[in-house]
Amino acid sequence: MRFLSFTLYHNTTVQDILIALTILGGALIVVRLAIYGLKRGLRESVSKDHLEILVKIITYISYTLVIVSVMPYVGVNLSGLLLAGGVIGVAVGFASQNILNNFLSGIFLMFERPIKMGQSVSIDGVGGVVEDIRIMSTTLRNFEGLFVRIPNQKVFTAVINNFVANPVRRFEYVIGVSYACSTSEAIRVITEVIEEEPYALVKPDPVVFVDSLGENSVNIMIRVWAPVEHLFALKRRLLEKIKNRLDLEGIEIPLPQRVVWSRTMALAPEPISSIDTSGFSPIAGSATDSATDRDELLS
Amino acid sequence: MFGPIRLPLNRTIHSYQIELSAGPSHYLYSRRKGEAVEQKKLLGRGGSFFLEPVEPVHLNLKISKTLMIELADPVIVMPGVSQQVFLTFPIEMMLTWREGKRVVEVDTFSALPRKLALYGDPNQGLLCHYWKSAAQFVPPEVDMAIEGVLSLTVQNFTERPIDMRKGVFLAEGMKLYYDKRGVSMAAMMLIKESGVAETVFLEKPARPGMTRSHEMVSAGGLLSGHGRFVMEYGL
Repeated sequence: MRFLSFTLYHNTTVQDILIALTILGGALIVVRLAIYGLKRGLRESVSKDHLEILVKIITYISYTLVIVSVMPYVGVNLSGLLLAGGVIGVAVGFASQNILNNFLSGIFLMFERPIKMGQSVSIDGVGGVVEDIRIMSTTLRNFEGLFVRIPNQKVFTAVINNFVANPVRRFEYVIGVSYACSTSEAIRVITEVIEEEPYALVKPDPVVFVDSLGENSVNIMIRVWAPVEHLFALKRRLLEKIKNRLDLEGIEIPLPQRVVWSRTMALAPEPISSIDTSGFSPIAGSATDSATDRDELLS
Repeated sequence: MFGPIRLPLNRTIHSYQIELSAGPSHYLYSRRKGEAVEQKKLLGRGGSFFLEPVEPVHLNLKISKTLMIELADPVIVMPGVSQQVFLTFPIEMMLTWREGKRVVEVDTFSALPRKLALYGDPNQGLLCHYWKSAAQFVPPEVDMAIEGVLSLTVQNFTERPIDMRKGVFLAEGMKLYYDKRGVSMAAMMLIKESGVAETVFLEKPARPGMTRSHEMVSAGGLLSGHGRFVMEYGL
């Protein structure tokens, strides 16, 4: 057992190193067991993201305490370390501003909690579901399924859109109906379709009104509130149903209209205002068809 | 209409056709509405089946466990008044398979399409199942496949008249009773401040001899409030 008292450096012996390693190993096991017990014990009563934050905080504090407690055994003088730490800290601080920023931002994010794990968000233009909020970075699974890592400093300073923070959200459509149709009838039909949808909320009331008189159509604005979980499915389904029901009721959703005159008129030397248009008729058609119409007229 | 079921079952309830038959080691269940068919195969034998009205929140239980009943016309409650009014509530029917203490949901349906509404503001409000009812002073005659009757005792503990337009109720405390004539619940609304009230259900059938439905929404623990709901976003 003489080797235990063998001095490795300064006053640190093999025994000190073994004690330090034992403390480290034991502490690691105890911390892991404690975390496992904590997770099992609080799984039912604490939400997943709260539990993750709690676990991380406890883990970091425990590891810090363990490392500090073994330092005297490996010959590190804590008071000297504090003094040296002040000087080194300044140097390291300058060198690792980004790391420190990310770390502090991570701490603030954990307390402010603008986003939670599992929520659909957009951070600095990157949309996705929050997978994890770590101490240095936040990870998302974007809507195409890609893994995205965003440094916490960026998350902290970026504009965040949280799509599911509130229980309900509103979406809107603008649907144009023909000038020849009754707008009140169109509003009645659209309102009926909205009422048939279970996820279109009764309160706040859905709103359907004539928004503007467009070039080609009377534009009807539709605003509907829905639970955030069902918003996108409802938005897709409702528009299709409105279109089908308007078709069924004979309410036309017009294509853009354009009036085309024949070339003989356009080339006439007289000013347009003086042209006698009797005998000519404007040809109405969709904008996409106008080129074809013109070619046919010119041929 | 409600109660234990004898097999084979072939019954029309409102717009639904429901069938339940027994095989050698299984049961076959189907529910038809027009061309839409829901079918289930139940593996196992034994036990018994019940069709009962349940808390009207099951069709969207994940979204909300609360029911908002909006009054067709507002009711003004004078200070100190304790008055009973009758409202209607939507019926949801559940077919359950029971074996010993185990109660398994087979199917839940409602004769009318159901809607949701927000109680409170969009930031922190609460999603509720929505129903609209007139407040009446005598129990209304209703189609028991569609509506039940809620006897609501309103007590105004404030010193000012209260304009009441809605009630919000937590499913965890609902106690439904049924017999051959209808489905009932009883509740109280205690108005404690202007715009704040507490609702709570009572173990009180509308008539003697009514059967109590199995409660399918369980209370969430010691802090659940035992079905009490505090309406803090207005009446």
